[in-house]
Amino acid sequence: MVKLTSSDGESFDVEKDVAERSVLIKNMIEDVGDASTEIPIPNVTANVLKKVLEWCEHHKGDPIAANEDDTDARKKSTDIDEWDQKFMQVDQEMLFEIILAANYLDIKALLEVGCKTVANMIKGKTPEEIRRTFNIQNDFTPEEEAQIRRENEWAEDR
Amino acid sequence: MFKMTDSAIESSDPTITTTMVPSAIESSDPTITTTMVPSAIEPSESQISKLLRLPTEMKVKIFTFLDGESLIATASTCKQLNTLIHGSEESWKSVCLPILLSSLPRDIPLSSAPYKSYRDLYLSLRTFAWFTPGIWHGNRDLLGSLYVSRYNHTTGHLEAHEIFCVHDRSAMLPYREWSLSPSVFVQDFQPRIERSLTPVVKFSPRTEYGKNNEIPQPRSPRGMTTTFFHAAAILPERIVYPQMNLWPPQLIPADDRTRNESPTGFRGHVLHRMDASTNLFRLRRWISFTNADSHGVIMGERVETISRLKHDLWTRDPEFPYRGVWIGDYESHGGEFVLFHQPTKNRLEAIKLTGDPNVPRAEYSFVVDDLSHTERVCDEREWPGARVVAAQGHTAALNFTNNAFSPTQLILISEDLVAHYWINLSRIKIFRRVNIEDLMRGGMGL
Repeated sequence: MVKLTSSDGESFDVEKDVAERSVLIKNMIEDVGDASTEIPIPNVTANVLKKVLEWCEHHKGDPIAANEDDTDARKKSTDIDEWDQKFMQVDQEMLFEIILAANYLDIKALLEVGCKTVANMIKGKTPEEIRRTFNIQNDFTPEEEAQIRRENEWAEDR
Repeated sequence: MFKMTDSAIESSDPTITTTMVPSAIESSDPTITTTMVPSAIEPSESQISKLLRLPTEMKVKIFTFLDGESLIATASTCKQLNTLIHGSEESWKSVCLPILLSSLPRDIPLSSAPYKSYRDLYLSLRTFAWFTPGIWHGNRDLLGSLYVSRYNHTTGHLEAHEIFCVHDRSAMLPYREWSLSPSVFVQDFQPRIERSLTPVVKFSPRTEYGKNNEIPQPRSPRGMTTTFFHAAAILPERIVYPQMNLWPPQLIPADDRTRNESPTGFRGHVLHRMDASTNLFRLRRWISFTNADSHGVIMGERVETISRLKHDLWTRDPEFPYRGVWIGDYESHGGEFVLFHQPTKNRLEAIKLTGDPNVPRAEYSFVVDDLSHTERVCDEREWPGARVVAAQGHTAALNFTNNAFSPTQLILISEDLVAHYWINLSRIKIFRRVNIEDLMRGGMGL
């Protein structure tokens, strides 16, 4: 077992192979050489860490993806397996927190799933729908707006 | 405005533009912002977008999962994302990757050449990005036709060539007697695949829609003029009669089907490309002469309807090992392309993609009801160990008259090679798998 402490001071007892889904934690355990030491996770709050560990628990048996280049793997669409899809059904605040935590903890597969989830929220939407979804302010000047419209003219009726 | 709502077109809608301008001005007022932003996802208490606050490299990572049009729509939301996306080759590379990976010959390194960047590649071919690498089959009378579409990395165009099976009679191997039954003849089959000299369809950065939304195509060496135009899919709920004249016919699984014929040669109703199916198109071909009055005389106009063969129909699958496009020996008719369709694990339907005046395209050539039921295992010297299964072979007189199925056998030599024993005809004919991936990379396909 490994003891992890979130930024807000909550402790989690986790199986070693679950915690080691995180390359950062794995390296820390190796550096310390003693799995019983408490490992602080200063950038992740308890509610996010709990969620991330839930993912690690479910995926503890997965083979660690080889460091594949961006070629063939990327060709694979944005398909997400069913469990991960359900797991990612969280509010946007949490979704982005998970992505940031996955990046910080170096959990490649979770980062991938998070980014795919956001990509799927963008796909097929108009710019205005994307703005609404992600709370983005339209800061283009009317001239820039017109310029973008001209670039997109091909899509309009001629 | 047409039905497509998933691209950037709505941003040009003047009604939206006017509502957007005040929102930008009054963005400091939180009450207005919240009423203006009825987010489907729970709006956070923070006024700054979570997406915009992500570190750049993580935004780019998200963008690498987007298709080209979604990427452009994202770049059209605000200045920050516009600058980021248009400066991010990595994002555009991901957009181009599926096309490049299936089209580039294996010895050609991945690059955007002849375009100066991946962004340039996508934006140059954007209008035709739907014409992804694939295999297509046409409804030409009786004979059918087969096309391979791909990205040509030397010209930077999207192209489709017609492919033909060439079976050199003079180099043909002699008939051999079958060691098991000397009255039956076996003939080896070593066909070649050739492509049309000029592409049948070509889209370049300069390609534009012409009159009636048709696109003039390269002239064939024989003086044939061709135009490309779109086809609309018939809504599935409107396909009610099994005998409806559709392309592709119901025999062949497809996402989109369209009308197979038109008394007016598909003129009159000009289809907008936003309503077009990305799995269908048509080619209008005619021969034109110009006389002294410079009035063109048009002869022999034909419209061919062409549909994309679904990817999983020609992709190998451990569950469905015979799935794919094959070339079969049809004796005096030459080699024909046949789809081996496995609707279930144990059923095999050999459906002609190209045909002949007896059994035309889009008809069964033979059917195996139960691949798992072994009639016998070969111990003759030709194919030792091959399993033999019962089949039904489809024959017909000229113009597909008096067609009938008769008992035949299929000899499963390997997952790339089978032999069909026409018992009534005392002939054994070879079928070879076509390597579609290789054809899309510009290879020979066999």
